[in-house]
Amino acid sequence: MRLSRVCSLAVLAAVAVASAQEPYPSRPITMVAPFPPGGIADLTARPVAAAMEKVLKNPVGVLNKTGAAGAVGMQFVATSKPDGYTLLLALSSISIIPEADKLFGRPPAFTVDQFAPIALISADPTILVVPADKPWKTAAEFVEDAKRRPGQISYSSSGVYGTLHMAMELLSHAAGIKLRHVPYAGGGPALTAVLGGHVDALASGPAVVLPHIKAGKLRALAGWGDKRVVALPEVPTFKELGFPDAEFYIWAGVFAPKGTPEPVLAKLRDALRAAVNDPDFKGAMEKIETPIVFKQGAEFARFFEADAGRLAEGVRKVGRIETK
Amino acid sequence: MAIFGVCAFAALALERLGFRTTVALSLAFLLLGVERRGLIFSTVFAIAFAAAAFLLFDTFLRVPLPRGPFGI
Amino acid sequence: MDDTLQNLALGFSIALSPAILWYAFVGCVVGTLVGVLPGVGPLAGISLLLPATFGLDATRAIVMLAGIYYGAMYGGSTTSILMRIPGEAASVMTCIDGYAMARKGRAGAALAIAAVGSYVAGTVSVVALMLLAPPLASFALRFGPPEYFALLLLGLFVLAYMSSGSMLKALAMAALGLLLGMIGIDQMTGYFRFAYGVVELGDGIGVVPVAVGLFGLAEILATAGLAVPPQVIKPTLRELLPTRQEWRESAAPIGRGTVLGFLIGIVPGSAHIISSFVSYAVERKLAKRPQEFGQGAVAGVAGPESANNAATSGAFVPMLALGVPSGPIPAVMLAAMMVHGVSPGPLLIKQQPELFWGFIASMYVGNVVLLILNLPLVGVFVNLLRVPYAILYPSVLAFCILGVYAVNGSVVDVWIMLLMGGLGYFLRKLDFETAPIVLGVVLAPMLEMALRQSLAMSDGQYSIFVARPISATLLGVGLILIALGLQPLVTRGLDWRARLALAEKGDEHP
Repeated sequence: MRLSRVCSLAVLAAVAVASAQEPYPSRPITMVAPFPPGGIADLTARPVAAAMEKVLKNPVGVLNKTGAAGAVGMQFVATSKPDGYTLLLALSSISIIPEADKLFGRPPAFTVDQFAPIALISADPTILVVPADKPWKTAAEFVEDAKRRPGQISYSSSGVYGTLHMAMELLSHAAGIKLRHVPYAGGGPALTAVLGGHVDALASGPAVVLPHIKAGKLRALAGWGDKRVVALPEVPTFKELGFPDAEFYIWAGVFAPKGTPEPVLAKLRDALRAAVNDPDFKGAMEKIETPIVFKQGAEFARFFEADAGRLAEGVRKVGRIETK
Repeated sequence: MAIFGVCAFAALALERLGFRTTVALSLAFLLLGVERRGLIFSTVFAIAFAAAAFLLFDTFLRVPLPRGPFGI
Repeated sequence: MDDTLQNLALGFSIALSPAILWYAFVGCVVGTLVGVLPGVGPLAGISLLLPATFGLDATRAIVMLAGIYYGAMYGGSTTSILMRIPGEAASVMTCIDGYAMARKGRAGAALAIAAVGSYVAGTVSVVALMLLAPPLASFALRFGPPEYFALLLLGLFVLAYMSSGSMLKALAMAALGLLLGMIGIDQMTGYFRFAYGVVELGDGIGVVPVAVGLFGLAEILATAGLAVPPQVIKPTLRELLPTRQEWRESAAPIGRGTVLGFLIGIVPGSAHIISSFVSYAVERKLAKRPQEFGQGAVAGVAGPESANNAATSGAFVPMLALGVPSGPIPAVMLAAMMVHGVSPGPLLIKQQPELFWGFIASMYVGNVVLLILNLPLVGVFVNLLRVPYAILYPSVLAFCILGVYAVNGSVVDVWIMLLMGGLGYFLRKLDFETAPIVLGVVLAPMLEMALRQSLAMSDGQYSIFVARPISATLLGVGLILIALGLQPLVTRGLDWRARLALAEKGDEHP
């Protein structure tokens, strides 16, 4: 009952006049997940919110504000009152959307500097998987074959300029290969396509493909992380294979609108640090097989900047897509 | 025409005034102004309807509905 | 086979334990409540209520979600029949003849037949799911973009059969729908099309606001605009039940709808939406008195309702057998499993038999619960029609706004519903049918995506459509359908030429 009340307070937070004197937090906090229930942003936001609620002794609700690949929810938070009562749980795509907007010369839905980064919650490197009946046994064979047949090996993605697309583009540039991109509407259909053998490869978060790797339907060739994926210790990273620029993470982090007062941000950082050590939170993340990677303050800002830089570069390299 | 107007009002007001206020006002207007029902009946029905719908969906089923200023 | 029975017994022992049964029941009730809400169909219902199940253990949560899903499915047909408000795109066809039946005082019969049709379809497809899942699932995975495109094209041809009035008008409406479906981000290049800076339009125009606007709101505008308020229909108890003739007329459509829906449903993607459209077209084609369609034909309710239910169950085949998120609803279910630490995948059946077989058994149980729940409710729902229209329509209006808003939490959707309501009202005045618009809006993005994905796969070679056996077959069937559709035109053309020839002969020899 309390939780549900909180959910609907997003609008209240946007319009209500909050007095500056009251101690923070004195009202329910809304955490906006810009993707639908059941997606990775939602699945991360809910345990984070629950753990924060315990730490702050103040209700924290999750609001799914979806649309336009997350742009709707992110824009909503970017233009909210910077009082610490509206937060955003964003994924890597937060730095892609404004860059793509720029590319098309349209007014951006929001820009990255409209947000104040609070903390990184999780970061999961993508891994390269191919159907088990395809000939490539190692990433080296894959890259070599792609060099021999430029534009012939195809891969699916969650959508054009989406995270899974960007991961492959970063690899293509690092390895100097050209692959054929077949975008799908979301990570689910992209996975179905590679399982059905309609495309040759997919870059994906480890959690969703792990059961299919275990069942022998897919083969993992390499990962985009700086370390190997814990669940797949025998799968090398592209870094080890000599492609240091192929680094990509699907990460989730908490942001506030720019202009949120520093004491409030400090309080939120402390709350989040305590929240990620909460056993319930750890259990929830273990279930969705997403490793907790906590970074805050300058460390998160550095990570965020480096990542945003890589992605912006990636988007620019892809450029506008001209169809034949 | 009046119905169309009420819908437009509702769309404009929904996220500003909140769900309950908007729906109560819209219903009261339709019942009282358009259908010429009694004042007491219209008011009671409009308020009860808005409150009950909100209670059912927002509170019990946890489907977030917008609230207006002061949490109404 | 013995294994299956044994496993099923295990499943039932789980599904019939009091705690699980209780969650199935709660799920069904809540699902029905949400489904009755205009604009909220099974998908919206299940995603809205997913967070409410996070606190339960895995089996209970899945069972409850299955209940919500079935309940929303049943509930959706109720508003379609009573008030002409579709809960989702697939109920649009139920609106047409169901509401016509309600206006003729046969609301009870329509509701009962919809409930029984859904029950039969649900149960039969669960049996099929259980027995055929593994082989069907690997077949279903062979449906890639080219096959999907061919299937959708086949669905589009069906449009030609759908209209009861002028073919030209139906095609014009379908074209309008296809155009509306073009709005939104271009999935292949990332361009915003016709969005005019409104970020919310990036995802395109939602089917739900369009369907609720064109049907529900337009109906309210048309009826409330009448000088004389419509007669309140007062059904008597005897009229609640379908007559023997109505049962007879709906038996075959239920059967056909079930098979058709299940087959369309197992194809990964959102094709299940077209199952009810296709079923409606098939029933109209096979009917002895096709002119009754649109005027309250029982088959027009029985067929699409069964097809719709069977299709969404069919969609569970690839999900359960292979752990593939084969459509929007299975995707939400998979997410729910992940939240509870169950990793969905090909090994699910072996690793977590209680969960898998419990889920299957609870689908049986859910169907029975809903039938028991819904048949008595028919009486209650029908009595809603006794409420004076002056009070009924403002309430329905409020529910329309609530439902459309709640799905995405978006006011833009409310505006779309409003515009579509106005459009639907004028189109009705001009005697246009609006169902083809909805089908167009549904099909346009899927069709475009599939076509362009296929071409991306083949590097621009159109031969991909005939090189792959399944898509070639489907396209062949489509061609035959067109040929059959053109046949009367050609024969009539011959007549005309023959007559001309005769006339010329006559001229030569006065």
